[in-house]
Amino acid sequence: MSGDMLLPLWAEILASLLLVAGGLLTLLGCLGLWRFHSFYQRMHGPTLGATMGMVFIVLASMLYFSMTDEGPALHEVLIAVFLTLTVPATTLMLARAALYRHRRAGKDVPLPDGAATSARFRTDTLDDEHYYPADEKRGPPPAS
Amino acid sequence: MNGMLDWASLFSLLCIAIAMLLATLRLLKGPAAQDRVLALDTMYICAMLMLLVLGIRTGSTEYFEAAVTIALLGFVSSVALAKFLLRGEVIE
Repeated sequence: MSGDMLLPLWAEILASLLLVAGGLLTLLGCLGLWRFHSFYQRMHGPTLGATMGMVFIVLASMLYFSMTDEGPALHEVLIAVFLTLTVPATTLMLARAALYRHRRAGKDVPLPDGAATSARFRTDTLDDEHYYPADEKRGPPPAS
Repeated sequence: MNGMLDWASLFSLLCIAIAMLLATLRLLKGPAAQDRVLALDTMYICAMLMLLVLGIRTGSTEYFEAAVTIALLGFVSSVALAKFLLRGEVIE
């Protein structure tokens, strides 16, 4: 780390807070990607990291380089704008691909009314069941 | 510098590394192809964030260009994979 250029205290505190918040949000999103039970739930997790996590870290980077270099450093806005434009496009295409594949496999998606609110929203059976041997032993999820 | 920013960026790097590990687990587990594509999509965003944090940590702007490249190529690859899942071919 370049130790010769010290930031003012407020900038250091602000950048640290932004970095910690961005890292935690990204971690939380990926925890959702790992823990959620169906693909349509899993899609919601990583968007935390792709939106607010990205914005926080980009803001921290802008603050740091604006303070250390001379003049405002605005080139990080490029990444923010680009990701804001592209991430929804990929997510939408992926969701449509998943809907198409599930429907072609004869699955009833999106879930009928009441299935999401009854008991617990377990839709592992929407995906390939044989990857979940523990669930097969437990039997099918309760019918809505 | 062994200040607050150093510790904060280290913490942020650790968080993003654990996030990438979780995405890798999802990539290996599946269960469906779209889950793996989603995990890859998440991994490139995590790698880009990691490069930005590394840029702050080292105080050099070279990491920024690598981050832009990862963002561009990751978008293209994710769109290609999603299109492949949807149509069975990438270029029609």
